[in-house]
Amino acid sequence: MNIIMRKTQKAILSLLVAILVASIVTITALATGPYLRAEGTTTSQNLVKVGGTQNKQTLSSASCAGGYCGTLTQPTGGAGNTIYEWNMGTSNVGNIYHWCAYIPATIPTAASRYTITELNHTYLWQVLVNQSTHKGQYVYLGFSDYMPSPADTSKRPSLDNACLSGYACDGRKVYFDTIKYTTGSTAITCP
Amino acid sequence: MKKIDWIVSAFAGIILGVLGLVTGVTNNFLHPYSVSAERPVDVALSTILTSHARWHNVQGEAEFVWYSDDGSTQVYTNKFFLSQPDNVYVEVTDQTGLGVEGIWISDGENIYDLNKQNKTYIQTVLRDSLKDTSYLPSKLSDVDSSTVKFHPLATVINAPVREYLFPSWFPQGRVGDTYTLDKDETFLSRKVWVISWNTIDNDEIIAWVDKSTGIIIKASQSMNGKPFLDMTFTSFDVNGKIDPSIFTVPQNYSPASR
Repeated sequence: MNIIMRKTQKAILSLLVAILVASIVTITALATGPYLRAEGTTTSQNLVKVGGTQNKQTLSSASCAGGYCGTLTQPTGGAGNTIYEWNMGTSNVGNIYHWCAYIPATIPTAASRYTITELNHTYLWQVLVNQSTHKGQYVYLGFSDYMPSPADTSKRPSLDNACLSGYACDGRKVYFDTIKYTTGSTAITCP
Repeated sequence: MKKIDWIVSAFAGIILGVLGLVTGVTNNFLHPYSVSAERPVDVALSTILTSHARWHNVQGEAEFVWYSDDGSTQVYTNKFFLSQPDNVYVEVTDQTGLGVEGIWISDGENIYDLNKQNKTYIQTVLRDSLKDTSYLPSKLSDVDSSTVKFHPLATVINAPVREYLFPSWFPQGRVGDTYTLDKDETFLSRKVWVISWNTIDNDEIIAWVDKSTGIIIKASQSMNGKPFLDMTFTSFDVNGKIDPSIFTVPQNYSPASR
């Protein structure tokens, strides 16, 4: 009887250890973000102008993820030329897999153009997002392979004020809000 | 327990954890979702969500009328030829002379963004990840209402018709938004569902959805009751023959200096 008891106890203990380790493996693997770069305050340095003449305006609004958004105005006809990049800071430099951008609730009416660049700069791609139809949601921008460091400014994600081909071009505003990224290869879970 | 028992138990745990991740079983615990009985509107929304799997070739033309705050309008036509998975030709023509027009081509290897005014083009590589649709939700219960996921090609095509040819974003509204199946109709000789999407921001999109492909062939969008966009396909052909030469840059265009 004692032998059966000891074996049962051993089996239960083994099962508990297995479940505990399985949980640790799962949680560790999924703890890959999301990390975020918010357009946080009126003195935010998260956005850096890299081209053009227009200065970003800061909007305080409950529609923005952190209470604040950046805005640029599209031209009335023709192409825009002002580009702002997200300075991603020093954390998590290295591998990156999935990017998402928050679109403020209620207010957007313009289509916008995000630019993402991969490590070797072979791939630069522009993701077109109609901000008017995804209000109050994150939009998945796609996959890249690198997290740019502050010293590596050529590979930051950016947004500009260009009018997009075929969309209204009458001085609408594009909105900069929180941008998020995950460093795992599997889950696309931004919020 | 002996040392070997601890090692075996821990190893079994690692195997279990990896299996859980690979099979996605753990996602069901970490991202629970609700499943409701399939209503007629859900059948229509499911068709839209998986639209890209329901056709091979499409071609036609669409008209876009954008409304400005001052009551004026801007009108564009989008002429399109698409052959899945990745051959695309879209030409945007500005009918009012107020905006940006152009031609966007993908030949499956490269993307060409053509400037119609100075007859130049910018060439970029069509990334392999733009051919991967595995991340798209395949059923309504997979939709994460906080993150919209577009068809990868729809993220890069430089013309608004992309949103209606690849409409997987449409059923990915927020919690609190409502979708209503208003009626069945015939439009451009095709059977369509008419669906209203009303958002918690008081926006409304009424979509005429082709039943066979899930493509939105007519749409009317308003914000706070004011007209915002009217989009209408003026011609539409599904799975007809497309001359592959349309997916090449016309000879009178040259590369732009960057």
